[in-house]
Amino acid sequence: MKMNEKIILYVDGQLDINEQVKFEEELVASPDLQKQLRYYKNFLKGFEEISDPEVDGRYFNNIIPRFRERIEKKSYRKFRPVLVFSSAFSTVIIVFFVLLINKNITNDNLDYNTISFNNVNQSELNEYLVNSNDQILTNNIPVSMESQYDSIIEGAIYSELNILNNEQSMVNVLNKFDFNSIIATVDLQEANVIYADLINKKLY
Amino acid sequence: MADNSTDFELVNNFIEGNESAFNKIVLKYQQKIYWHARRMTGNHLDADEVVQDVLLVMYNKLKDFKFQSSLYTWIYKITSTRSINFINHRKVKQTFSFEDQSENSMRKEDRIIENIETHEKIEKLERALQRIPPKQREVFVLKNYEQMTYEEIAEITGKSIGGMKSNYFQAMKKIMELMNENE
Repeated sequence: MKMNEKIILYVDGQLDINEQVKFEEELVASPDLQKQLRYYKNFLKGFEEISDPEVDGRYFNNIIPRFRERIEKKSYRKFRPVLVFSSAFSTVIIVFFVLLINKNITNDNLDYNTISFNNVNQSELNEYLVNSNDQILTNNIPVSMESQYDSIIEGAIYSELNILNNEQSMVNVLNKFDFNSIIATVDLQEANVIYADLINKKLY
Repeated sequence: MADNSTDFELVNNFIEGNESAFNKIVLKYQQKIYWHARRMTGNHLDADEVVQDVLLVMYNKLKDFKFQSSLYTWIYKITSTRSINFINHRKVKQTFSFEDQSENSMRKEDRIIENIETHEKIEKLERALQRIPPKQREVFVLKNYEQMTYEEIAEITGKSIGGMKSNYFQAMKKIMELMNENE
């Protein structure tokens, strides 16, 4: 082991007791070793002298404000995706409610000309017929209305002929009567009267 | 050494939501954090980055601090770890030349030490310290600048005392050689 290494271990207290005694004997006998030891101790003292140097205080005064600024930015960055998602979600919700409200407004504004006959029940249909009265024109009646209207007339015919309300009964009746000759005797005016009577009878 | 009872109060105050308690802890330890980071990294700007990282770790982890060690030891542990991480990261960047030389020279020019003679001494030692491995540097700095015992150093580094002694011996030998070369 070199002498300078022994000095390091001696000063650091890493030599065992025998090595320590031997080193101290050498030290007493060697002025050069004493010089080396002094040099080493001064070298170590140099660290203490520069361990707490005088510094520009502005740097240390700014450490906390800079740190606070940094964590504020970090917390903003952390919550930014949440904010973006919240904004997008809010927009979707708002659009949904706007569409929903618009739909309700449209339904409230429906009149008898735009009402969907597919969704009305019998009483609503009757009400429609009463309110529209003579204003109904054949070409204005919607397709769905026509089928309802025909079924009323059909029902009235079944009732008038006193037969079951199904197609087979009608076929049986038609087989018994010569309808062509009966219809041939009815002119247009009489037909209208018959139909009108049938309608009124069913409806009122 | 830090006053543990005061540290205990400050930490508890911070845990209870008193933000100014954290500022007081920082004011108490900021110089120690800075100088340890500076001796490890070798320059002011890198040390400043480490300081800000250390404060962030302290701020996030202080709520979990159970006083199983002193706050002083805990802060040094964080500073040492963050410094070594920073050095390793910097080494990788320099290896792949992601960092240009102008930035390095700018870092060297930055100074906060007012006394020119002291500044020169510190720079000379910083240069020598940068030439020994970070683990040896860590022990060297804690022992010579902070006057810590091997037991304290072992607690901070999480290594054995025997290993610390060996690291210190190797570090001191190398530093003495380098200082003699420069004289």
